[in-house]
Amino acid sequence: MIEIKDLSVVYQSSQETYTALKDIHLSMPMGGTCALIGPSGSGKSTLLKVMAGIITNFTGTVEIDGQAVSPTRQKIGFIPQNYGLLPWKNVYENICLGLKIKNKQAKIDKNSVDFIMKQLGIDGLGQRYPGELSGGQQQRVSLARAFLLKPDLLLMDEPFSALDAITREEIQDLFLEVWKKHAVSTVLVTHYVEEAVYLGQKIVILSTEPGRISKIIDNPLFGEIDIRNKREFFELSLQLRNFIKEDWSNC
Amino acid sequence: MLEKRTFLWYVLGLCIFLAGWYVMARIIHLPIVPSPFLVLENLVDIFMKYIAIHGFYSLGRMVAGLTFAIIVGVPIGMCMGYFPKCDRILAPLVYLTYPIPKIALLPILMLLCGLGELAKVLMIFLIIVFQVIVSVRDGVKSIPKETYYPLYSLGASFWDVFCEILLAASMPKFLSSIRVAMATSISVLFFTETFGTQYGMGYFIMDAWLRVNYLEMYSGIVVLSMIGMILFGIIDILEKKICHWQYK
Repeated sequence: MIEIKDLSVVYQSSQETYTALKDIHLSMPMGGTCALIGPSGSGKSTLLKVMAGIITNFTGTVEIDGQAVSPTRQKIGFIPQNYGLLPWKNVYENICLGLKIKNKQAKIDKNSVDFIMKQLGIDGLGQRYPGELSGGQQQRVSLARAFLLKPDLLLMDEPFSALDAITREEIQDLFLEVWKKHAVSTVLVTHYVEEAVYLGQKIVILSTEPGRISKIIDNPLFGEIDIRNKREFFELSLQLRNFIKEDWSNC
Repeated sequence: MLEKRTFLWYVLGLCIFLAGWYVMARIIHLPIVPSPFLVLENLVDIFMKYIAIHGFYSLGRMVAGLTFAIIVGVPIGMCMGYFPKCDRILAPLVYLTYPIPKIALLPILMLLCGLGELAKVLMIFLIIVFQVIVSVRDGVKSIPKETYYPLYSLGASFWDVFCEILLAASMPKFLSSIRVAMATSISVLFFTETFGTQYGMGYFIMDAWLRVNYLEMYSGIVVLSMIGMILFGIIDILEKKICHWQYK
């Protein structure tokens, strides 16, 4: 269980204090997915960074399986918006980086790297550098790195937003397919309602000033086959969109 | 293939340079600008006999100063780039001392360190180290914050961040700072070698000049520029090897 209780984050600069997140309560089961959707300034990325242990200056509790979140104790995979690949490492080295940092001396099993690369359709690209890859391929590499790590929690900050529409759908499908095999608890931030409905078992709508949760939806459509072409999908998306429009215009 | 083509470009550059020199020599037609072919002939004659030892001395001083500057400058630059507090404390100090013309310090260095090698190496060190500090710092500062997040979320130590990110990310700027500093330091090396030594290209060239032996003087200048070219070439090769990812 991943549990967030009474979480508030306040940024303090010399001139002013700014409340980025206020009284966040959220829980999700291990092995589930949760999509955060919210306008700019609603603290989505801040929430993600708190869960990643990057921001430590907060009040309230964030726990994974009853233990306070800590990058050294738990395995937390983080995929930033720009995929976080290091341009000076080739694809293979980039994929292994997570394990290398986490396991120190432990040798990395080449077969499992090859396996995950195959699963994500990037086999044969091992010697290439990120600069030589398309956006979609880079995203696959960053997913491979995350899944190879078998993290306790995978965090993704607008992971598919820089991709064109067709590639985005492809990678979303691929993500779900690989995710089902590994069942990694995942929290992702998104701008797109459809993406939230497609990928989020739980959909959390945030609103701004200060960032707080205005609605949590248990998505009944999650995991259904070929859901994107069904009427329910459009209906739920539309419903959410209308709610969001109203909610965000009140801010 | 690529190396061969680069080599051909170097040869072409050399030919253009020699042609320009030759034309100048013909126009001016005085012993003070001898024909390049006479100089090269002289160079072949005396290189092993007289010049090589001076060349090695100069090269040795350059390499020593450079190594020293890298050992000191890279860690300071990294810390300044990575830790804002460190930058806040050290930046004014660096900015205050960076613009001081280092050559003006030569008499003081000579008084403090004697006329020997140390003063000369320190001089080169002082010229290069500031460029290294500032460019490594800027290199580290220009790394997007997001690059660190995947490592932070895995509990990476500073050492991990240093090995995986800082070193590689600051390398291109570091190498170009060395390139910029190198030209200045060769000129200054020449100057320092005119005092308190009987070895080094600076000494050789000034000595030939005082003996009004223009052929030898020009031979010395050619060797000095060759030393520069070799060092620049090495940096280029290093950059291609280490920073090839930049061009992908």
